[in-house]
Amino acid sequence: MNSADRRAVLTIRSKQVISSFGYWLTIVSYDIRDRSALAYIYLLYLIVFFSAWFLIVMFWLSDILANAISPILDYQGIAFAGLVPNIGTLLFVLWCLYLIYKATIRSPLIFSKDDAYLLCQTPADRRFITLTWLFGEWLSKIVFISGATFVFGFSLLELDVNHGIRMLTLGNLAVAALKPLVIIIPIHLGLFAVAWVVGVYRLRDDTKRSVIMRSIRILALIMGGSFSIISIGSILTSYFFTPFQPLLEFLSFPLVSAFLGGSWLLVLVISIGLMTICLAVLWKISDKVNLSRAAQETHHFQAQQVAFRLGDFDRINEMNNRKRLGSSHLPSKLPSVSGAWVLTRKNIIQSLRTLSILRIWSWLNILLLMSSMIIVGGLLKDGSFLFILIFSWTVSVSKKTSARFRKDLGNWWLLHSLPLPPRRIILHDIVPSVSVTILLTWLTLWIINHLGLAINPIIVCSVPFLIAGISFSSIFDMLRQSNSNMLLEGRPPDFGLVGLILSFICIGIQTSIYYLIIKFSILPIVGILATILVGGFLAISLLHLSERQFRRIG
Amino acid sequence: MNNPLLQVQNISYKYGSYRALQETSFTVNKGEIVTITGSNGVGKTTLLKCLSGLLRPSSGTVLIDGYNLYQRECSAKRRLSFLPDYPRFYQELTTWEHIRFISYAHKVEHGFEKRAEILLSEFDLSDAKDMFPHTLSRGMRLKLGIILCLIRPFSVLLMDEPTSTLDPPGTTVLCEKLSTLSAEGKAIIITTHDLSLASTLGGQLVQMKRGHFELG
Repeated sequence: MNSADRRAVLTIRSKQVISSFGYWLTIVSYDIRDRSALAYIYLLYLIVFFSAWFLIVMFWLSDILANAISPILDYQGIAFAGLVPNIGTLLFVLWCLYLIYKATIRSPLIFSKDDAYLLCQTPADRRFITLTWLFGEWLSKIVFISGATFVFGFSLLELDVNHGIRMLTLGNLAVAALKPLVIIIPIHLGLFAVAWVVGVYRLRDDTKRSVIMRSIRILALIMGGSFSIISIGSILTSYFFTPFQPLLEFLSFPLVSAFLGGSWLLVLVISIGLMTICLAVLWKISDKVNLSRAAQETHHFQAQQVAFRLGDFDRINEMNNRKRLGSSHLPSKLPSVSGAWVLTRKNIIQSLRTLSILRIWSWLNILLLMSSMIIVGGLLKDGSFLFILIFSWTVSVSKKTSARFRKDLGNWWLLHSLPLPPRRIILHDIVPSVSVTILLTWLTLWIINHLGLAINPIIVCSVPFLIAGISFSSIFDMLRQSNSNMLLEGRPPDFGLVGLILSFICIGIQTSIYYLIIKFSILPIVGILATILVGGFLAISLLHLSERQFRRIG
Repeated sequence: MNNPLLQVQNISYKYGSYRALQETSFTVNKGEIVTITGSNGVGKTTLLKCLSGLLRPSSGTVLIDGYNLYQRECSAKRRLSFLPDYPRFYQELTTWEHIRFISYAHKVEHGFEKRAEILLSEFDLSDAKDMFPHTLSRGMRLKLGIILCLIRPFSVLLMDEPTSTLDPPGTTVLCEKLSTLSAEGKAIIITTHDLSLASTLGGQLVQMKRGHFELG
């Protein structure tokens, strides 16, 4: 490989690293393309500010460890200083096994489609590409590992200061942070390279090596499980796990030296040596790595990463759904219906095909939030916490009940072509989810009532109108922000502040009726009637507004 | 005998202060085919979107078979079929389920399966019957869009660049279909950059220039 090829590979990789770094800088309003003096001054300010912020946060965390957690551990008979290397070793081993597990499934070399076009079809040296990609990936992890090392190093120093062993000086602080870091960096890089060795070995030539990879996966799971049990067990009940003590001491020896001193130089030499061996093995086996396979396995993941950075969660969901759906499906056996009911049939098919634990959890979340609201409001009388819960519940209900309609807006061409009035389209899209939410809420109220907390019938009667009001509010807000071109491109807007304000107006009016009835001891039947009339009026008005807004899209 | 299926009265469209479509009025009668050509950005797609009701014009109105598109939208939509340049589909429904969805929404139940099978076979999509849209190529997705437009009843058919990604056999089938539909008395408006398609279809050829549309 000549130097021009190397420069090309380095240019591509460095552009990627700079662009991902630039993403974080954009968040703090720094434009990496801006070459003005003011921009450099701002960059300098950012560096100073975030370095100081980083150190302050590390100090704060180490302070918690040294002064709050350490005494508790001492009380339990566990020495904090002894715990640090053991926990560190456990985390390192588990992290490495996780990386190895992942490498047996997906390539550690991540390529976008563009990278694949630029690199995979060229005769560029695979070894050089592998190592360049390894260092780029590893660099992004170093901030986290440095942070953790600083926290543990500072907390151990603070304990020594508390006991009068050492003084809190700048020199001591630097030593407490850098001494372990110098050992941890080569260990971290070495373990990182081990996972890459597994991944690159899997991608060598065109052989799949499925049996070997499956064996490695099982072994990694067994090792991870056993090591966690032994490691945690020896901390809690050391007498029971005594036979494993030599193994644990052997594995934690590098971190004991790093944090607590003793044979520091020897451990440093060993760490660097092991790291060099791991990198050399990676260099050796990466000569025939199949980059096209790596690109095939990872461009989906890379696209998800990009979508995540852009906050495009719809795109991530779409990609996950595509993966879950596969390529084909036999026609649904649900009985056929005609007219507006085709929308309900379609919605059922769509929901069943994309059912996931996460979606079930989002329903349960509504149930949990509702029960928390009643407990906090009825028993604890904590106003500020109740407001946070009401806010979260409203957002969850809005999201859940308008999700299907929003998805349909994303297929505006098809939705618009249906010979159905907007009212029926909206109702067919939201009635199933609104009904489930109402039933879940009633179920929560019923359970709480049976647990001994009396629920007023006015609250029970207000539930359907409240949920319908919240749902129509969010739908109105979505339609208010929509225009034909964005919908045709498949970018339906989400509900925003207006939707939330309207939802809170619905909640506020219903709550006021409830409190007025209670305060003036009016007959409950009057309260129920008032709730139904006012709630019904609000829901119908919001539906009417949504319908008008639907017609105005253009 | 003149029997207007599409009557356009003084419609114009503005994107902010930019007038994308100059005020125009025209009618398309039963069995007429109008082919619109013109460079990119002259307003072909904007015109079709206005005629389909996807865009609400800044002024004027559109009557589909006598029904005002913006006031009696359901009746108008029952008589109107529109294909956009990049049709989007439901991710979770297969090709067949899309066809069933559109047919049943328009209450086309009798003989649906036979018609759907014929259209799928004519456009060479029979093998993709149970496939999800994301596994279809761009050309196949366009074919699915065309089938969805043709499976339902309509009097006026609007198609925005329907041959842009079609293979030659697909284009031939579409031309035959459009000629048959015209003979059956449907009014058809299509936009295209393919002048040979315009000459194959016959009918009126209109060259749009900077938002100006004039039908002779």
